[in-house]
Amino acid sequence: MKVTRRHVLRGIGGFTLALPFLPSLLTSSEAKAAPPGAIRRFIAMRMDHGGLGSANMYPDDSMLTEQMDYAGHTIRRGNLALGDMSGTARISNVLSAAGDKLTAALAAKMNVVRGLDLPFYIAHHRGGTLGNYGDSDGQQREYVPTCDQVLAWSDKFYGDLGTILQRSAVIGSGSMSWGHTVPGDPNSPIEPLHSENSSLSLFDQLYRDPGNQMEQRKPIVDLVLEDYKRLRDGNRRLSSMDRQRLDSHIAKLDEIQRRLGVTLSCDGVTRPTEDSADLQRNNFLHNVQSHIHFWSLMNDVIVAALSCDTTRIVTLRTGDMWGEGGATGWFHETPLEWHQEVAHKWFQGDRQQILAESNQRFFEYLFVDLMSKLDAVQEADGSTLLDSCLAFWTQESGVHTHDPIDFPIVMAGGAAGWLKTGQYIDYRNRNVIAHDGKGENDSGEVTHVGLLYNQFLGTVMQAMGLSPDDYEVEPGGGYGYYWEETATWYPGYQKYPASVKNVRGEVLPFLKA
Amino acid sequence: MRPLRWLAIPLLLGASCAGWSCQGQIGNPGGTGEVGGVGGSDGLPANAPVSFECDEAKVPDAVPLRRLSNVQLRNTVRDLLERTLPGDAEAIYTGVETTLNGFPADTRKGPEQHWGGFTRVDQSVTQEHVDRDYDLAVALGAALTADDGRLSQVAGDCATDSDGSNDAACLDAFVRSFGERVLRKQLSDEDVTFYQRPAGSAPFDRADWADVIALMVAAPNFFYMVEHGADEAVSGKTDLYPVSAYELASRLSYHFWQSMPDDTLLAKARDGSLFDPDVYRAEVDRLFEDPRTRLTIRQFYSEWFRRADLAQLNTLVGTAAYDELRQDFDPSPNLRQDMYDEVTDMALYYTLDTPGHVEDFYRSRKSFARSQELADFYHVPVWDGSGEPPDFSEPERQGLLTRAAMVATGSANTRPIMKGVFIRRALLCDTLPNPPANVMATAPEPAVDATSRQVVENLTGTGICPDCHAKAINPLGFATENFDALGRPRDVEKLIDLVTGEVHGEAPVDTEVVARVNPEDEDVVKDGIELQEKMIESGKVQACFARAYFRFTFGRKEHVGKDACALDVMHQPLEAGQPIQETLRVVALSDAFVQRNFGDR
Repeated sequence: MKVTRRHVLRGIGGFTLALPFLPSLLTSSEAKAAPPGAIRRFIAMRMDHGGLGSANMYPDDSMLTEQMDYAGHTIRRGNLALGDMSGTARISNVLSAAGDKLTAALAAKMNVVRGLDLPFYIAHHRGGTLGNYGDSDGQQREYVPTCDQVLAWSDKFYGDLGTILQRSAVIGSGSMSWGHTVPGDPNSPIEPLHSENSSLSLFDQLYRDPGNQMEQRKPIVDLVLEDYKRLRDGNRRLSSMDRQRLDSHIAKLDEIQRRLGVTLSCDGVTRPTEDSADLQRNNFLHNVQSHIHFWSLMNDVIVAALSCDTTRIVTLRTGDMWGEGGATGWFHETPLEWHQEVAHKWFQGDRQQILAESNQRFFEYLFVDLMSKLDAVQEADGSTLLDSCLAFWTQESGVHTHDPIDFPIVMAGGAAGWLKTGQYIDYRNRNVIAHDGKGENDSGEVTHVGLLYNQFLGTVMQAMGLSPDDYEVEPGGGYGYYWEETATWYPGYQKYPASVKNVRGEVLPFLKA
Repeated sequence: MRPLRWLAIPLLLGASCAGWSCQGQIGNPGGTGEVGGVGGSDGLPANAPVSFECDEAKVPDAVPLRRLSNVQLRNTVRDLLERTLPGDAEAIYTGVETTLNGFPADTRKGPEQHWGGFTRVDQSVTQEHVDRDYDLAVALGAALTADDGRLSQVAGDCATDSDGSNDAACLDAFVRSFGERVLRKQLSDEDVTFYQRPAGSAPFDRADWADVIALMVAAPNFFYMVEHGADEAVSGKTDLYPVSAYELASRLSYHFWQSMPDDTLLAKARDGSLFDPDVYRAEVDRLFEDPRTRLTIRQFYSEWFRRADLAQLNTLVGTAAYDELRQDFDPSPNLRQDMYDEVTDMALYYTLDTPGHVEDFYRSRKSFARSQELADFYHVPVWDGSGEPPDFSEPERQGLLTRAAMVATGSANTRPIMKGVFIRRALLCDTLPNPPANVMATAPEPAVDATSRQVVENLTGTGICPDCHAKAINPLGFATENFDALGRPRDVEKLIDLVTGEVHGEAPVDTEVVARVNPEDEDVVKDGIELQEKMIESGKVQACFARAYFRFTFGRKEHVGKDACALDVMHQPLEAGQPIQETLRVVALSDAFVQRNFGDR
């Protein structure tokens, strides 16, 4: 059922949201502020590890009905087809869900992409998913802000911050999103953003009661800012590091001051009565239902926030089951210790099955749940909230845990018409083998190198309305740094020819509408 | 972080034993001297020093101004309310608790991820910190002025009487007195004028007062420990300055009490008497003897000795392998915390309740179980928290390493590698490099015909693994394999299939190892009890105590070269056989505690 903006969204967490509270979205001023199709939204999801076999993750090769030569090799595409097995809609083993949620209409708004790699070893990482490849346990390299934070501080992306309470919502296990401590200062340190595990806190960050705001006296934030500045610029002794820290605080006070001018476009918001954080405190790790509930609560807040346009960027990460209070789960009841006994044993058949089940549940109860909720919110022009989004889900690693070769990418949304959707795309070069499948800890699956993940993130940035000059750290480099791997053991060592490197600044083939 | 980056490392480390890059042997001295890297300067494990060479010419690194930790912030708010509006303090605190809960949690940060780490070291300031800090200030301003009764208690009757002509003087006096307390400094006239600005012109209403209070609570001097230092630099040191009297009062108070200075301390800062060595020493003693210090020291130990890989013990109840291991033992959700608390209570007992020594940690046969469940687990009476604790009845239990919190995992199998890493990094302060990048990290998994020790030995016995695992990590964990994954003593290991729970027999446990606490020591120890004697004998546990307490005190990682003077001050009492509490107290007398390097300005 489509929910128009005049309907009330009812979340499972006990809150409701009437959209909109203003007389109509179709007033001229509203239309001018937010013309249909102009607003683009960004959602990135990542699950730790990876290690999903191709047979579990991807559709059958027969779906790849077209091919073209690009970057020196043949790449392929086809239309996504949805199978139906007893009420379960199916793209692949992992990409399957209840038929009333994963509909043909939703599948038509998705892309499944494979064949994107990092040409260097990254091992365990967090920020690498969004381009901060320096955040790696394998080798310390230079940090850059993650691409979501470039968007968050881009005038092109946020042309109008009039309704934006949070430039980005960062959720789940931490360190997926990184930004400068002083966003406008490229010389300031790069740190991970706070990541939220409480749906209630997230709600509080993304809403405030417009009524109360109207009754407030003039806020004192300008004086607080002045206080910090008079300390920072005063003549009392401070170290340069002290000043840098004060600069960071001042930048954050600026953000508070900016928010005071925000006018919310939603009303009738009831604060949820249930908090995802409570679920985490109660025997959470091996409880699939708790995980499903946790993310459903989060998804409700995300949908409402995007609907109300209080943020346009969401990043979330699940993982870290040993996190003290920060674990966000694996959607699986196995008693096995996840990191070592499941994820690192991806090549064993029984553990691969657990991984597949876990990821299928992530897909159904997090990804599809969120996308279908977004697709149920109808804009004035008949498009849906999902249509304005570029959402994607990927993993820490490719087919082999630890190796960033052949990241699985599942996308949804058309980025306000920028993206072509409904495709299965394979960028691999089937003539160049990465893993031969014969290693001691191997599943026997042969993998191939493809195009570069930098190119994917660069494409994402262009889909969000940015030009390469706005985000590239190296001209023509896509997003993030490119490093040549010097370790000969790396399965991708010297397997990325100039023809691949040289196109990484381009938009990926097949994706542009 | 949380800060979660460090969380992945232990997993990888524990899992990646198949390919440690430490092809050399432990023993290369200390690398660059700065802990927190990936081993020594050559990427190999670094053997921790057992003494510290104080070189007066070396100056501690400059560090940015510190913020209050979450604990310090909460205590400060509570104390501020108690001293400002005692009758309503609890109600107001409850009212702002939601905001306080909204501050991002501090995570343990140490030189090597969380091992040997403390939440005080987490100095991240995110947008959420700043948001909540502002919210807190506004909320406190409103709460303290919610009605005339409150305002009158906070600022005096002059704030609420009908005479508007005294409002300006009333506000001026309030800003000076409240400001000194909340900003922990003597306000200049410029400050006083500034903080009155939200009120505008007299007469003032309650909203004016609320804004003034909010502005002061939102000030940088509240959230950060702002330090400018004294006028004159330390002789011969360009960038090194003694801290001012108020700054010193804050350092003392936030270290020992994790809260703002009390009126006595502020008075001694105000009149400068805090710089009198006798007065200062007396204040150190006064603060140390206060019950609040006990809570602080409790936090120190609870964070230091907390093994992150100990899962809640009831989580896997109902799963085949775990049920096979536990049989009729039915752990409650509280047992893990009871185990953690028992270790903390042990350390507190030898630190504050008796004039104990670090050596007692590793030799004690007393149980500090304060819950019936843990006492039953240990087969001892419950300790009531005072008086003589009961002795363990199990002969295997002696010293820290044999307590349940140090050996249990909460799963069906023990983790010798993780135990070894904890001992090496957190208790001995040795530095272990991260595994090489090309390791396919695979976990040791109990085989149907092998003990956990045998599985680990097989897994780490070839290639480049043994140099690090066999010499530096595994033996430390093997020595306590006479305890099962629940923390119960055992002579034999039940060989359980982790997936099916099927039992494939049992095998005797082997705890005999060449521990190499010091790399050159080839002596055999027969179990964890003897291992602990080796640890004591090595001098490393005493030196490591000083290093851990340095991190806790200064909220940063130590540099064994540049911070050697402070480390030496803390280490000397331990070396000389003085009680632990002397080290905890004497840190406040070190130069590092009373000076600050402002570095590049």
